[in-house]
Amino acid sequence: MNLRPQSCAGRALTPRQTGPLRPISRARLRTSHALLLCLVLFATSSSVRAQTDAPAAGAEEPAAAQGQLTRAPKLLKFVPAVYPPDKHAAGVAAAVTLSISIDDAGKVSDVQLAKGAGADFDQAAIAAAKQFEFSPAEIDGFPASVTITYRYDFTVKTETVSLGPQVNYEGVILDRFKKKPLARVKVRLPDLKVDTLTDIDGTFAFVDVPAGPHKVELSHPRLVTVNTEELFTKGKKRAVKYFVEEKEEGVDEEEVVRAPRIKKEAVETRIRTEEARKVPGTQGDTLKVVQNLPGVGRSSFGSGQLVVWGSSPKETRVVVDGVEIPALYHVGGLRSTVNSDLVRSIDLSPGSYGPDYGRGLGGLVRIELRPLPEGTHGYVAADVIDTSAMISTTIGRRLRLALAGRISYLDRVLPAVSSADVGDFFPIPRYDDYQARAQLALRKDEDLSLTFLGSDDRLRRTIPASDPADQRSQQTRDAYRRVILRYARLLPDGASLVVTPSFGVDRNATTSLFGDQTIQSSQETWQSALRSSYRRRVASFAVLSLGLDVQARHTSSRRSGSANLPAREGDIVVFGQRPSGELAADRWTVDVVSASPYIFSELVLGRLTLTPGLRFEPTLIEGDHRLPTSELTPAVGYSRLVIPSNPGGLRPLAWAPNPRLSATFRPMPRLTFTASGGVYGQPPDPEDLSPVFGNTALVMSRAVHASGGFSYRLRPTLVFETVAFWKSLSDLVSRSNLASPPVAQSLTQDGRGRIWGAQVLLRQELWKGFFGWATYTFSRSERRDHPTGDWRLFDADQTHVLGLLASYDLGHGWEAGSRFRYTTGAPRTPVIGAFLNANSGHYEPIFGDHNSVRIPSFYQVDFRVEKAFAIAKNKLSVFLDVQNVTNRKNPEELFYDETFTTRGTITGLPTLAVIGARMDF
Amino acid sequence: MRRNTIHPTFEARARTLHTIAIGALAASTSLFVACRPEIGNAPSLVQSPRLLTLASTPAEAAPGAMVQIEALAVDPSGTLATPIGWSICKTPKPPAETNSVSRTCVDQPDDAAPAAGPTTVTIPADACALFGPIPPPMRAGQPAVRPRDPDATGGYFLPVRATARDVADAFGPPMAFALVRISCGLSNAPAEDTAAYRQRYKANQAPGLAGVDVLDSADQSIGDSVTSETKIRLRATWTEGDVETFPAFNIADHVLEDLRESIGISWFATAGEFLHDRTGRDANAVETTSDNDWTAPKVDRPTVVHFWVVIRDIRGGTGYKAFDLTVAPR
Repeated sequence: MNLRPQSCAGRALTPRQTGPLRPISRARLRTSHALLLCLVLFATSSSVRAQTDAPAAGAEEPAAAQGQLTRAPKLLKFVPAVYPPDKHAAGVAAAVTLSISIDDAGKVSDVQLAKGAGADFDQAAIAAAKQFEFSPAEIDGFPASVTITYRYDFTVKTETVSLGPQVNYEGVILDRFKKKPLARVKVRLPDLKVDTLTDIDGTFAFVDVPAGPHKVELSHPRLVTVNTEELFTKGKKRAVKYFVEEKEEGVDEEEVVRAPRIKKEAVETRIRTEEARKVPGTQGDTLKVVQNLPGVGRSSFGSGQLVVWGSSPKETRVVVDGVEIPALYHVGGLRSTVNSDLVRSIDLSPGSYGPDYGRGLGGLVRIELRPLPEGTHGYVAADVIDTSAMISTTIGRRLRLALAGRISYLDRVLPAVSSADVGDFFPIPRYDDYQARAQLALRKDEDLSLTFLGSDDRLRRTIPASDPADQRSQQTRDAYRRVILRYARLLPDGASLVVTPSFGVDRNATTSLFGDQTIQSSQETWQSALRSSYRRRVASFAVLSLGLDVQARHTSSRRSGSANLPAREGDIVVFGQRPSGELAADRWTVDVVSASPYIFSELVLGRLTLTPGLRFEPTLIEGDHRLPTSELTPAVGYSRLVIPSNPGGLRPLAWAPNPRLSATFRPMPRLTFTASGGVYGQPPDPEDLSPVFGNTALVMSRAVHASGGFSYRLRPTLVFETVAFWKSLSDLVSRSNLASPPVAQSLTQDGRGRIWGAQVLLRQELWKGFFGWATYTFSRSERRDHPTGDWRLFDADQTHVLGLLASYDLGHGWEAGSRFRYTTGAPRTPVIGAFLNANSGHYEPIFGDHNSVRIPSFYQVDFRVEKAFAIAKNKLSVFLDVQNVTNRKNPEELFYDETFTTRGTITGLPTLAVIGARMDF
Repeated sequence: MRRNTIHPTFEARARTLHTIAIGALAASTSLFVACRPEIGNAPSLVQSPRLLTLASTPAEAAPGAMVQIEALAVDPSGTLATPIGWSICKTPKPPAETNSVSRTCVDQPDDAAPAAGPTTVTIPADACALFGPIPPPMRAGQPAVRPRDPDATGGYFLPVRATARDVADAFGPPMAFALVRISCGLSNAPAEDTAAYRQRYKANQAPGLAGVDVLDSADQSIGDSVTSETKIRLRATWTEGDVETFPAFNIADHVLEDLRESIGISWFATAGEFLHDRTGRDANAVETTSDNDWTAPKVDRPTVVHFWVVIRDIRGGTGYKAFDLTVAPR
């Protein structure tokens, strides 16, 4: 469609209703109400618009007019005035007020100028008015003559006319590195269900794309699928240029524009956020889908911790735009700490990931934030657990802002429906999180974003007892804040540069009372970090990436109470066991600083793609006192530089950078073999560096990962994958088994771990409204706490983990999904006897072989149904998420009676239905 | 009436798992099925041979001193005079163990042949090095050993194991540990605090029960006979002198402060049901009594029910009293 000024005589325009026409016969208007006469006028293209006006004050009253006006005159014939040509050409507008006398037959008997606008306008208006014809006015029911005031408006008007279909969205698609146009790329507008292919010049065009935001998908069998969103404005053409790159086999759908992220890991699962939100059991929380991915064990109820490939939750790192955060989920695992609508993608690497990340022996969860959309958008959602909302808007052409927040109210709902003191008995989590994000487009392909993340968790309960020694209470507070600045630039040569400085603080505090025994611990960690990466193609077959990953953490800790609390992995303990009576106290500070340069290259050698890389992770550990202090013993600090050493006998190799390697081989388009591995390190937890409770001599723990498998694309959207994995852990930290350990050595670092297993995944990506996957993971994770000890099962070892998930778009806004999960129960140490502690009056357990029994297996069916309603331009979604449809009493933990003679299981959630609603605008 | 079938912690944690379900119930169509676990018998109900307490006299002693330890062994027939095997623990608990005493001491053999009646043990001279704040002498080339941590009262304890050898419960011979409080003084504290501690600290005296009253609903004494299925009130009484005040060094705040003992009462019977397994008074209480309700069992002939009431102070002192009630049928 085009815009152009209208000047065509005789062209009919849109019918227009004028304002009221009011006769001004004073004698006939003695009644208090005015006469309203609505005239429907048809303006012509001469751009003359007629409009009636109210009578002017002091207008003459017709002499013949007496009595009550019972019918007003109605304009039956309108004659347009001739627009003075010179005035029209100059765009001059005018209004001429006339006094028109109408006889009892409706004929115009006289026209007088009431208020002129110039001779030419006045004459034209009078001439036209003299040709008007009216229906006769009536006074007291009889035709009569009247005089009315009439205003003629001369306006120069422009009007949009349709000249037929118009191209309003066109563009070109180029290879990111070669800058060559790409033909036969499918450009699809999913919400409009239209698509087209690029021609040999890489160009495409759409006609008459409706105004508003529309999703755009670029796809080609050999290219990374790109999803983006464009905003179309009425009457304006959208011209774009997209850069895409070739897909590596095994990479799932990407949701990036211009600079799609590369795949360095052979084992990685990526889920679209829109798919993740529909997974049953997640209550619409995108990030909770991680719990359903292959290689992920089921966390114990209420913990929300991630156990991937048999690693401890403390060994798995969660990063948001490359910045580490302490917790993916709020306490209890009910919700994630980052608003789902700010998230573009979630990647889970259970192991063997690339050299750009480190400081962890386990898996890696990468959350990438979504570029903010153009325009004003947002949502409000609520269910019985919490309420959340987000709004984003555009200010000017380059700045986009977003605010999001969530607040829980379960701790307030529960007392209202249960007993008022229910919170005294049951730990009801209270949490909130909030985010702010600003995104500034500095110039083409150069963006700056500032993100703030905040999260708070509180838990409090009191267990009264008739014996003061049995009274218990517990309070925990966890919080983190992050400020993330991210600069991203796509250089003209196709290279990319990303720099991400960040700053934040983590706080946690726990106070537990066991009768007269008080156990307190608190930690505050200030974290500063800088990540920078540069990536460019250095040859036709090679892309090189360089980066620097710097992190400094200053932790102030304070702890008093039993050394047995909090429990550690490997502790032999039963659920609910009271701590031993000894008390100790310490305050200490620890600085852990690491500056880790890394390099890796993607080498495409025909059907073989290699991604070798190196990461050098020197870590400085400093503490304020190496030995316990008192008034008699002054503090003496320590400082040392450590690295995660490489395995092998050669000392120079031990100090060399840690190698990482990923390889894919594609013998045929549908089949891809993958293999990957590397050496990983993790600095000691500052909590373990207390000379009283831990060991100040701890260094880096180390892991070697290896994995291999293949994927076969059965259909374009149906993929089968299988991966076998192996991990070897060394220098793990565990409690000393010496009856009289040396000073500052309550913990030792001679533990080892071995993990092996395999996983399979059959995944149907979104296809005709259906998506789903089936996963099965077999694994065995073992630890040996001390060289002289026996191998035992890892506390969270789960031999079998099976998950089936499906979601289907039923049409008419209905979607339904179901999930089935089966997991082997976690190992526990059986109680084979008990003795009475005569001082406390309580029994204490005598344990059998470490982790030699298991909690019974868990399985559960969940169901979700959602209905979406379109309300104007908004979308209202109402969902019902039912967990444990079969109401199975799933065992979650073993527990014992007071004398340990009877063992029972604590069962998990019964059938639980959560209803929620969400309004998107 | 609440049954103390499991420890409150177990109950609370188990029910915690249903918190979300309860919350959802309010505003959704959740089907909530309570599955609060109740397993085992109340610990106050004596149904098998058990050791109910070990009382040491004196309740606190210095290394080298002798203490007499008496085991209260019972079964449904009443107090037992069964042979007890004794063993003094010589191995401190490693950090890797979560109990109060080392597993080694659980498994080690008796020091002497089991015998009925109390035993007398001598606190080892190195008890404060093994189980106290005084680290043992350093050996050449060996690092200094970490001293033991005190409990909340600043106390250190020597574990002494008692095993009733001629009877058995579900796990075999009933076993109990007396944690005999050893006077090791105050270490690693400022000199003035150490001196003040030495001056003010008095070795713990074991509390005693002045009496246990059997009361009706009007708090009137009802003698030693009750009617079947009748609820009565039992009132344990001790003296003000049993609640001692003592100095303790606060290791978190590094100050010497005065603490007052709290008192705990454990109730046992061979039949019927207590409202609480344990009662007590906290350190701030001025009362010297503690009440508990007991419901007599249903009987069809006069039945003697044996009772034991054990009193403990926070520093590890223990005493007990036994009595019988006859339950008559309605």
